[in-house]
Amino acid sequence: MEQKYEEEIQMLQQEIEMLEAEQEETLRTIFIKHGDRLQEELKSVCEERGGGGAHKRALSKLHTEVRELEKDLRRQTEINGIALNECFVKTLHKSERKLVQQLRLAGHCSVLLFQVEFAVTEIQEDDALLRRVTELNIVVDGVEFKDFSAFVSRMEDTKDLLLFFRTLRTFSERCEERRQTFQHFQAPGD
Amino acid sequence: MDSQMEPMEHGVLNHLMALERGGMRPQDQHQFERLEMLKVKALTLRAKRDQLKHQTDAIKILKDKISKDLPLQDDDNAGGLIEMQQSLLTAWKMQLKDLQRAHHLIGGYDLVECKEGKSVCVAFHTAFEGVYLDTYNMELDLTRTVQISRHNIPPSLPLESFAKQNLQKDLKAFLRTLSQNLNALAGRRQQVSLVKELVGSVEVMESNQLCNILVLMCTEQGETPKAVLCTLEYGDLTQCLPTRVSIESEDKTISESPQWKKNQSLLLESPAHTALLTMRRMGSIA
Repeated sequence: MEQKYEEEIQMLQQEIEMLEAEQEETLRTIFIKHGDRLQEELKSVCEERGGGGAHKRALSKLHTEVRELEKDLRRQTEINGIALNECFVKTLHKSERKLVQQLRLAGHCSVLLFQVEFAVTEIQEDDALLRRVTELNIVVDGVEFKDFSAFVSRMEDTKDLLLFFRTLRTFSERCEERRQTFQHFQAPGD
Repeated sequence: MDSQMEPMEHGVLNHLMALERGGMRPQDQHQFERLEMLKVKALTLRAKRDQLKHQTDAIKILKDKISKDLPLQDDDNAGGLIEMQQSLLTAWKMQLKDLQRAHHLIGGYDLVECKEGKSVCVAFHTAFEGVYLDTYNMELDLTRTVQISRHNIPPSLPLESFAKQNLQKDLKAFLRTLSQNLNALAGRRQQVSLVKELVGSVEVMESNQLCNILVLMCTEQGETPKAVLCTLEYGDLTQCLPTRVSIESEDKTISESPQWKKNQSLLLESPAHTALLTMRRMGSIA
C-alpha cells in the first residue's frame, strides 16, 4: 500500500520536472522569436485591470520582479562595459550534479560588435562547482587589425572566454581614446 | 519545517493527534501516520502536476497564436487574459535571468547594491584556458569617498597601491586592473598545477605565492640523462607568460644547443605545461 503511493510520488515528481523543463523551453522560444512584439503587447495589455485579487497580486509581483531584473541588468551592462542585445540559452543536459548549456550572445562593446557562441559544462562536486568552457566561436565586427583576428583565433583554441572579453574591453577603450585624440588634433573644418 | 507544510498537511497532523489521544497501538499509529503523509504528498503533487500541465498547455496555445500572428487578447475569456499576461511576464523574466547569467559567465563583476546603495559588492571571476578558477569578492563603501570595506584578495597583490591609483577617480579602471592581475595570478598558479598534473617527469623546484618565479627541473633525454634547470621569471604581473627564461645545466653543450634555444622560445611563448608537453613529445625531455 505504502509502495503504491511511493511509486506514484516518484512518477509525479518526474512528470513535474519534465513539465517545468518543457515550460521553460517554450517560454524561451517564445521570447527569442517574438520578444520585441511581446513587450509591446505587454505594455498595452497591462494598462487594463482584470481578474481577481490573487491574480492581480501575482501579476504585480511578476511586474516588480521584471522591473528589478531590468534595473539590475542596466547596472551590469554599465559596470561591465558590455551590452548584450541577444541571448539564447539552450540546456543540453540537466541533472542533479551536471549542467551543460549552449549560449549564443550578440552585443557590443562601445563600437565593437561581437557574436559569441559557447558551450559550458558545470559539475557539482562535494564542495566545489567545476565549470569549464568546452566550445567557443567568436565573430567581431568593426576591427580591421590582422593581429586582432590572430588573437581571436587563439582565444577560440584556448577557450579563453573571459580573456576575450577583458581584452575586447581594453581594446575598445584604446580605440575610443585614439579616436578622441585624433578628433582633438583635427583642424576645425576638416 | 513547519513553514513548508501545506494547509492539508496541517489538517492531517491535527487528525493524527486526535487519534493518538484516542489510543491507537504505537506500531499501528506509525504505519497510519506514514500512510496518511504519503497520501497527502501524492495529492499535493498530483494537484501541482495538473496545474503545471494546464499552464504548459496554455503557453503552447499562446506560442501558436503568436506564430500565426493572431491577436493575443481573447475578449470573451478574461481569465485567459490574466494567464496570458502571467505567461508573457514569466517569459520576459526568464530572458532577463538568462542575460544575468550570461554577464556572469563572461566574467562580469556581478555588481550588487547593498545597504540601500551605501555600498556595493563586486566579484572578480578568474579563468584560464576555459577552466573557471577562484572568484574573489570585495565590498566597496560609497558613503563619502570610495573605500574598500571587505575583501578576500590575496595579500601578495598590491591592493593598496591599486586603490591609491584609481579607486577614487576611475572605478572601472580600478576593477579592470584588479581583474587583470587576479586572472594573471590564477593563470600562473593553474599552470603550476597543470605542470605537476600532466608532466610528472618535470619537478617544480621553486614557486611562490605570487607565482612570479618558477623553477623547473627537466631531464634531458640521452645516453646519460642530464638535469636541466629552467627558470621562468614573470616580470609583468598582468601576464600569464614569462618575461625571461634561463636554461642551466651542468653540461654546457646542452644549454647552448639549438634544441634548447628552441625550448627556451617555447617556454617564453606558450604556457608552461603546453611548452613542456611539446618538449616531451619532441623527445627533448623525459
